[in-house]
Amino acid sequence: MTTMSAAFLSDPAERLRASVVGIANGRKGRRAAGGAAIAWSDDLFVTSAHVVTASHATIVTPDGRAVPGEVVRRDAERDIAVVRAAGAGVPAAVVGDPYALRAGSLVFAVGHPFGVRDAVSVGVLQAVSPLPRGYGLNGNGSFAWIQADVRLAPGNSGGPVGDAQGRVIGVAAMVVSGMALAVPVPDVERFLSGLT
Amino acid sequence: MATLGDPATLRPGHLVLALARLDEGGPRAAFGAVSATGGKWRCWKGGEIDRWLQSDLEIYPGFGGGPLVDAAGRIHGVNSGGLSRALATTIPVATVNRVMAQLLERGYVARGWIGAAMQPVQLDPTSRQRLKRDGGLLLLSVEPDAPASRAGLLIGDVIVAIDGHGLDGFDQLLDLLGGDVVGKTLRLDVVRAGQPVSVDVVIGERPRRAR
Repeated sequence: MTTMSAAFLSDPAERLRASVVGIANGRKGRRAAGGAAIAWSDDLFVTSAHVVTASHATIVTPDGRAVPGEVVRRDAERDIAVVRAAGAGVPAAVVGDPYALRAGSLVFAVGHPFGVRDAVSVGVLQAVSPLPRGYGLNGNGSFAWIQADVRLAPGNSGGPVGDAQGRVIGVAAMVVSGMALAVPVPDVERFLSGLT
Repeated sequence: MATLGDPATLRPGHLVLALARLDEGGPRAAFGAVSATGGKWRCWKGGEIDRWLQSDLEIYPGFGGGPLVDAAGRIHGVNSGGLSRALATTIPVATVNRVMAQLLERGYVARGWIGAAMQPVQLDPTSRQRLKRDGGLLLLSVEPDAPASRAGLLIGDVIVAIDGHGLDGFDQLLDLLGGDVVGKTLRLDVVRAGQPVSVDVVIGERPRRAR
């Protein structure tokens, strides 16, 4: 048995938090971000479709700058969207593979639950698969979801679920029957294909 | 076979997992910490549970009935989301073994029964002084052809002790009847019309209600 250090996930959490931004609907930069987004490249940010319902969105960087962006791709059914915002200067997140993890692997979420900036919640992976029977999700249950035992709250939407190394493995989307659901990274990359 | 742990060694803050298998998928885990521990308690349905063991685990649909596992992989009990609203409750290994032994033997858990309705009461001052006891259970009704009536217990009798154990509420009675007492003869100390008498009762088995 390995002894757990008191620092626990703080290093990987710090790395991943550096790539998480706040995001608000519309062109006008509001300080209070409605959800989270992940810096995927210099100017592309991935978030949940239900966080950005307008054609434009505003990125709020970790140092508090509001950067205007445009929603360039959006899939409500898969609950994923891409925002292009130039000049945010946020380092892109390192991407990991959820399918390489086993049930019980440590994972953590970063988001803004109830407005708390960049809060970390820790849990374990349960499965990366369509939802089991009895977990209601009209129609969307047949998609592959990262299912994790992590506490998510409003404000985590669009933020990352990371592995113990601080790599993004999914985009936090919603809570069903108390269980956290995130869009797996391979599906996110398929969704991003063609965008540069 | 699974390795069993001793729930008495778990302390608040210890890491634990809840395990389950849903549909045809692989095993699943939920993770948390022990929140509270303690001694024997009685759940809201009346069953005796050998240890108090609660955790901050989320008991997702399908996780009830799964094991609580410590960081070394030892099973400490069976998780239930239905025994307490606030926190996940684990039925400890000792209780599981005890109930399982009875289930294997008879197919159900037999509980002692005397066939009488009772009400906790205070004793009259004379009896209180003489018996050095404050209260007992007053018999309000006695079912015909049941252990209490066969032993000659009467409505109005106040049971003050069973087998030497003082009785002033239902908890002690349930504790005594919950153990392995069916078919055994227990001596009841009774106050009848102000006079102490002893009555031997052959404990019956609580009739099983249709489910």
